[in-house]
Amino acid sequence: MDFRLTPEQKMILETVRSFVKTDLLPLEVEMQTAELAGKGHEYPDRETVRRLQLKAKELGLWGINTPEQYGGADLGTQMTALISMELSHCLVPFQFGGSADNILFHGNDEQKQEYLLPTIAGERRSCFAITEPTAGSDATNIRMTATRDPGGDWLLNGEKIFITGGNEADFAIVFAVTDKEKGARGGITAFLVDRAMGWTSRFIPTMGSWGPARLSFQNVRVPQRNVLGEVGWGFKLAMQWIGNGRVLIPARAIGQAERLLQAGLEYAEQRVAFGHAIADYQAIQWMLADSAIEINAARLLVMHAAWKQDEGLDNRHEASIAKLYGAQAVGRVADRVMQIHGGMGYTKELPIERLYRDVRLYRIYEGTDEIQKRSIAKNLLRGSVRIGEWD
Amino acid sequence: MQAVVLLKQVLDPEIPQKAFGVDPDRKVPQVDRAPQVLSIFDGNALELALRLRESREGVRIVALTLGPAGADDVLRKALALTVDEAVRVSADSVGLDSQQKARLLAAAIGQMGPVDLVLSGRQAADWEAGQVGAMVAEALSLPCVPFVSRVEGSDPLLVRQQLESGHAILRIPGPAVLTVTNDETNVLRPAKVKDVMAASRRQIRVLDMADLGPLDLGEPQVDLLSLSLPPGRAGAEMIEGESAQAKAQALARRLRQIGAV
Repeated sequence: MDFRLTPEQKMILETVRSFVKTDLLPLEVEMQTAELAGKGHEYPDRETVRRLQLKAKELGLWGINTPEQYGGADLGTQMTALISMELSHCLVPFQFGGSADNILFHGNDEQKQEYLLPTIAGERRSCFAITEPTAGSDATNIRMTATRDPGGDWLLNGEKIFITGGNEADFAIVFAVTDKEKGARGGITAFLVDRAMGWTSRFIPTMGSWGPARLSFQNVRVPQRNVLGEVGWGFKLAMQWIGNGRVLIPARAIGQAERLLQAGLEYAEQRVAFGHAIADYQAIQWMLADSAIEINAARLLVMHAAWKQDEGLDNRHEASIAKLYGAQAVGRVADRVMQIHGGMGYTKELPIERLYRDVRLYRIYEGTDEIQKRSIAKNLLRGSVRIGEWD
Repeated sequence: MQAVVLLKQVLDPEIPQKAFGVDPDRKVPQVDRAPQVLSIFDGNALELALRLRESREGVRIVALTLGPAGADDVLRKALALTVDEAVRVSADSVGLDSQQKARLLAAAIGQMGPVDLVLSGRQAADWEAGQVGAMVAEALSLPCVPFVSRVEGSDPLLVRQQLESGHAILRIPGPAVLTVTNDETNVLRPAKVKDVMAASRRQIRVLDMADLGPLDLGEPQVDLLSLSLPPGRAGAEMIEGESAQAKAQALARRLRQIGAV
């Protein structure tokens, strides 16, 4: 078992680090200024992101997890997780370009031309719309309807909520009930729905920088050719989408937790109280140690789940464990690092309070803690994973 | 034109001071936990070579290092930056002095056919001796141009040499060794992802002592007698005060007290 990074992994991370240092870190000041002005969620704007993505493209940081035939680098899940950790050492939210929702690859040739390729190229933006006001964790319970009119088109009616990227998207991947009786087993269909077809979005303010949207569909007419996959089998696609990205959420959390711990460490060594650096006190040392332990544990959980994904093994159990643990760990690290900083940590002079608010989301979206625990327990009770089994 | 760039793997100079130690008995740094990186000025030399290749047709770059298999990492990096060939002289360089290392490197360069240019960092980031480049020139009977920071013209080759104040532009008519110093234009570029992946499939040529033919390295001309860390300094003194003015006054009093002013 070799835990060392390969020379290639090290070099790619060096390239990412160089991009972060040169192009991303200098924006932290602007971001903090935007935060102070109450506009943190608007930063960075679309043009800035596009400019940064094209700059990164020159270094080959483009489509890092996209197949080579679509112009991606196809670096695999482990490398993508490592890159995600590195990238999130910087507090400016940013993703490399050249990627698309995994389920868009299931489209037919025409759909690939119209939706997949322009999304990879960064010319179009998608959002994944399944959650509704009355169906979050129990996504099988969605109520949005798609009914077929005599001409063969579909009419979509209903509301979607908490849709990431929904305010900026040019098209949405929308899940709607096409057969109420069958429900998730043959009765939910995925549609590619252009904004121009008539849906509207409304920004939802949140406690963090995540600014999701509420989408509204009133008799939105969608042609049959915009059905993604087979009619009735959209829920299967939705599960694939959710499963694919699960392991990358804790990867991002780890990078943020590492940045926080670094800040806590530096502050503890500088801040003097009662004649000593507070790092000399055991109370502070334990906070640092607990944070380091949890970060290390999360890192190993993520890399194990990512390795299974790359090996083509079923990693749903490990991804759930990694997502749950990483999401919780970063919250505890943020809490401790704020405590180490005392009053300064609570102010908007430092980015700690922003991270403290932001990372709370990880325990809620893309499967709540409770949903992860439910899956983990079910896997054990069903015997689909065995205690002590490694791969 | 064939250009050979000498690359040295060193302990990462960025590691915290606290993490650095020496083994006084073996007279070597303790390397257990510290990462190894490409020496910074060698990175500048490599960047200069890459820029030269971009500005002139037919430049072939060979990256050359000396050391055990672990030193291949710097060559992998050079391959990821698209050098044309990577060569390692397989030898334990611990215990060799600058002249012996230079003779080994010169012997390897001698195996490469006509070489027009040898570039090295002006000094390595570990021992800071700054001798290997010049001694390679000596061993190859080539002129050595130290402190080169830029290529100003590629054909004929014009280089900028950094001087204590200002700089000189020199024309290099024939084969030469350049030792390279840092400059805002020669910071080593990051490798492109596709080149990193391609580099992993490329071969590193390994030369052992037998490949270099009969070679007299001579006796070390410098004997390392002892190696130690500088003594720890006393901690900083914090000047307290309610306001900037009070702090400045307290600082002035303290400076007078210790006889500094």
